Amino acid sequence: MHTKRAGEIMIQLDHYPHIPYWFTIRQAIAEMETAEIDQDGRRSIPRVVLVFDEAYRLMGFVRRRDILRGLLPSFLQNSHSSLGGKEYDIKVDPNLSEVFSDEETDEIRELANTPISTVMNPIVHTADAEDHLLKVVREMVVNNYYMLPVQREGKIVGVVRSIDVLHEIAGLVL
Amino acid sequence: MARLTHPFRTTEGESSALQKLRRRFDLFRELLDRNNQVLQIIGDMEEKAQGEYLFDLTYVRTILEQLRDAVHATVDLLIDLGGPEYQVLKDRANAIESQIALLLPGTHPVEPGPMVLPFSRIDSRDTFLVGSKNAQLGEMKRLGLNVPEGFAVTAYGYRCFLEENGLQQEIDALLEGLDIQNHDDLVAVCDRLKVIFEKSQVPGDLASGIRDQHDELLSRRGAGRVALRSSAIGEDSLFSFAGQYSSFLNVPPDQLLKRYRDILASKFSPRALFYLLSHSIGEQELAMSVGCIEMVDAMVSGVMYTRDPIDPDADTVLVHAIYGLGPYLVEGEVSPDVFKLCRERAGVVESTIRTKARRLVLDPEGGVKEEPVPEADRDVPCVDERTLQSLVDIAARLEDHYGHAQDIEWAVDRATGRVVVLQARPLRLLCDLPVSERVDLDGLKVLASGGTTVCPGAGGGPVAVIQSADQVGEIERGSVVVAPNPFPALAQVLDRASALVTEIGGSASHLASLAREKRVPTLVGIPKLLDRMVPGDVVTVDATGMSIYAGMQDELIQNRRPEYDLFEDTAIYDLLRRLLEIISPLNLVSPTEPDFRPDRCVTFHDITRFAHQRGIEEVFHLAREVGRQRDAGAMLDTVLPLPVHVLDLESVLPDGTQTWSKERDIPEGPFRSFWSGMLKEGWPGHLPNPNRFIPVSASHGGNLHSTQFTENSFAVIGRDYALVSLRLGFHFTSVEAMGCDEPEKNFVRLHYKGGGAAADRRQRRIRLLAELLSRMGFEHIVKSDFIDSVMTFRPREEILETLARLGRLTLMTKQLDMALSNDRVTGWYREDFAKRLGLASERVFPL
Repeated sequence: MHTKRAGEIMIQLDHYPHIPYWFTIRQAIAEMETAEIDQDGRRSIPRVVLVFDEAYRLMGFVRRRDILRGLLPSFLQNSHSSLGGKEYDIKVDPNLSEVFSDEETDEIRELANTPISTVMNPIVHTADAEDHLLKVVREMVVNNYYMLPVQREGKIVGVVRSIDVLHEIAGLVL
Repeated sequence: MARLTHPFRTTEGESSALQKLRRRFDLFRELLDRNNQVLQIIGDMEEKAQGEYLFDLTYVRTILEQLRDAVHATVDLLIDLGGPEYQVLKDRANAIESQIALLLPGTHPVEPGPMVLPFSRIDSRDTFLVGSKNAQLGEMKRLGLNVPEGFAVTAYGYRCFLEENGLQQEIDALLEGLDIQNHDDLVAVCDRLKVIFEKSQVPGDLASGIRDQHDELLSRRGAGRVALRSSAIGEDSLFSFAGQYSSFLNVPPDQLLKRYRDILASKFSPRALFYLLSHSIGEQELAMSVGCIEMVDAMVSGVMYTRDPIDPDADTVLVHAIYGLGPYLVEGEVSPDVFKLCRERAGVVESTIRTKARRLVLDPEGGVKEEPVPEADRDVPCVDERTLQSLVDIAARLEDHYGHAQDIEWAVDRATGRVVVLQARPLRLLCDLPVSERVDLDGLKVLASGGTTVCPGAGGGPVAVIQSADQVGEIERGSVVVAPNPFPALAQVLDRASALVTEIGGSASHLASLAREKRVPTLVGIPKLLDRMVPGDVVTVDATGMSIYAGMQDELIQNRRPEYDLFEDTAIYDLLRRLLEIISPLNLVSPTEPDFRPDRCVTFHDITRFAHQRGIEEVFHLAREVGRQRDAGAMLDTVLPLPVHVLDLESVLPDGTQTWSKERDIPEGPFRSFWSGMLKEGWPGHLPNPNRFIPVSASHGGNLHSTQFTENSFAVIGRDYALVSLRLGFHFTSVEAMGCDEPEKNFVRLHYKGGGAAADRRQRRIRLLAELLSRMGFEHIVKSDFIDSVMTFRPREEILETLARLGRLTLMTKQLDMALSNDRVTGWYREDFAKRLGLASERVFPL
């Protein structure tokens, strides 16, 4: 049986939400809340928004959790706000969230106006449109991604998602 | 970036391109003035043509002269601006002028032709040859109506009479330097002219022509006498001439030529001459034709109006009748019986029978004489039902034929007992009383007042506020439409509106013209109107009285009903309306249509519309050309990372030699407002940690050939004018605006094109812009990823406010296309921007 290549199962870039890096977290949320991806009749909402620069070059991506991190009121953040943290960090008690008040709501609204570039992640791995399905699977598993940008002849042409990869695998095993 | 010299305030260093642009800009401003003048003149003429105001031929001539000058000036300015390719407009203007000349009285030269013409060879097209009265007799004969036989002595006959006797030179000499306001001088000149005419001879061939026709008429009809009646050329277009010239009844053969001469001389009665000259009609412009008509021995004479002038919709016919010959009626010697007849059933609705003690009859010696009416006949109706029935039939036929109400002179022939029609002309009446005096306005609650009446009348209904073109479809029939300004899309609501009111506006807008055409009571220029009108509340707009009242005021509406019918049929109104047909319709509406060409201009309005549009474009193109030249202006010293050349058209920047223009030096005006909006929105932030984010690759979308994303940006600025052309990222924006103290000259025009994203996202951005701009009051043309959006006719403050918003919107939408992956997100951005820009949000966008 023919197994597909990345270019065959990817979502065209036109159909995937993306924004310029100076847009705000708020605007990224709007993209996520309104976008609906229709892949061969299977509908889903995006978990990632791509971020581009002025020259329309791919700079990075933001996931839901990056957005949520960007909105966390300061007192609930660990002293180190990057992914993972360090061993000697003081743990913040999440029960503090019970003090959630108008003040925190205001802070969230304010944080939502910070540029998306403050919470986005760099693009480290990409797939090529000609990459075999299994190569894509490996990249995702090893790097813990559920989405990979796909390039063709040096240009970003779309994204391949774990859900679409799984769909192809399902065709093989079910 | 190299710092450039600032050459534009010193003539020495000023680039020739900028000098050229400045010259063109001056021309452009003048063109706007002239264009505005033309629209005002047309507006004034349209207003007069509505029948609410009286005017005379002097008005028509004066206003035409002004209009002609303004149109030619506009065309000349466009030719100066854009070159000889616009010469064709000049030809169009001349052609329209020739058409106008044909409509004006007296401008028809009297051409050689027959000197006498029997009525059987005349119809209504011959008014320039035989005058209206004769022509209509010929026309009615052709229709088969019972009219007297006869013939006309033509205008050419009159010319021959003058030439043969060398009269023109004498007339000219006497009239030269005559002060018509000096009554004694006027009478002296008229007396002198009368003597001259009396001494003059009817030329031999004319005399024999008249005699031959006369003899032929008498022998054919077996009649004894004729009537000679004046039928001046142009009398139909100069309604007040009626009754100014002589007519003679029952003329014996030996007095035929004398009476003919007397009628010609009656042109120079003090009253008639005063009228001519005081209305700027040259004496030579009015040739005199005379009708020689078989004398009807009238048992009864009368005048019939085919409509009741006081109540023209009532479908009644009014008949006035007396015994004997007609002059006693028209001269008011005898009070007539009056019958109000129902057109449908021909029955008498109402009659007033008066005592008619005297009558005028034919004198066997020639002329007429008075005699008493037999006692028994005095107090009974002088016409029977059969005659009334005939009259109603005639009324219907003539009205059908001419298409409007008629004023008909008739008689009952003693010999046959039949009704004879002696004359028909359009029914003309003047307004009796200003209607406002008849309505009791006390006790009505005034909601607003003032402004300018664009179309008189009153209308009531629920208030519907409409701010932009996209709300047009929401207006229900019978609404009182309230709008901030007369924007063109309002034209679409005119058929549904009971009245229209705007906060600003004048009588020169296109919309004003349409409102008058559709006769929607329209009042403009009421400040803070929108604050005072509550949507849904029932109000009555009294456009005539320039007030808005609470509630539905039926009596007022009824009374304010424009009395068009009373005026429409008068000749002078008819003349004005016919003139307007070749002056005011607008055929060239949209510049995007293929017919938007100079050779398609068929009215003066078309010409100015075309010249205005092309004027804007000529300046725009040249400004862009000059703006692109790096040595043409100074650089704007701004916090925004955007190199912008500034071209100072009217030395609005402070003197100095700096090579940079500082933001703070820019005077208040369109550019400053736009730029302040840009500054308020701020430039998108820089990438905080560029080393961490190495771009992977370009996407496949958009116009990626450009590496310098902000090249070629420039601004041309004047006192109340600005043209800003920006290249931002992948899109191109240009904003042109005029924001002076005269709202009718003001406009904002936005062009927006392109983008870096795929086509569907670029188009979503344009749709988003279109919707936001609509809410701001713009109207636009959208083609794929291009929008051409225009707002006109706003006060300066509003123009400036709009420009500030456009400045913000320009940066808000910078590369927004990238983010518009679907319609829902586009809707979210639209409402988000609307909120941030303080624009009304019609819809709550559900996330």
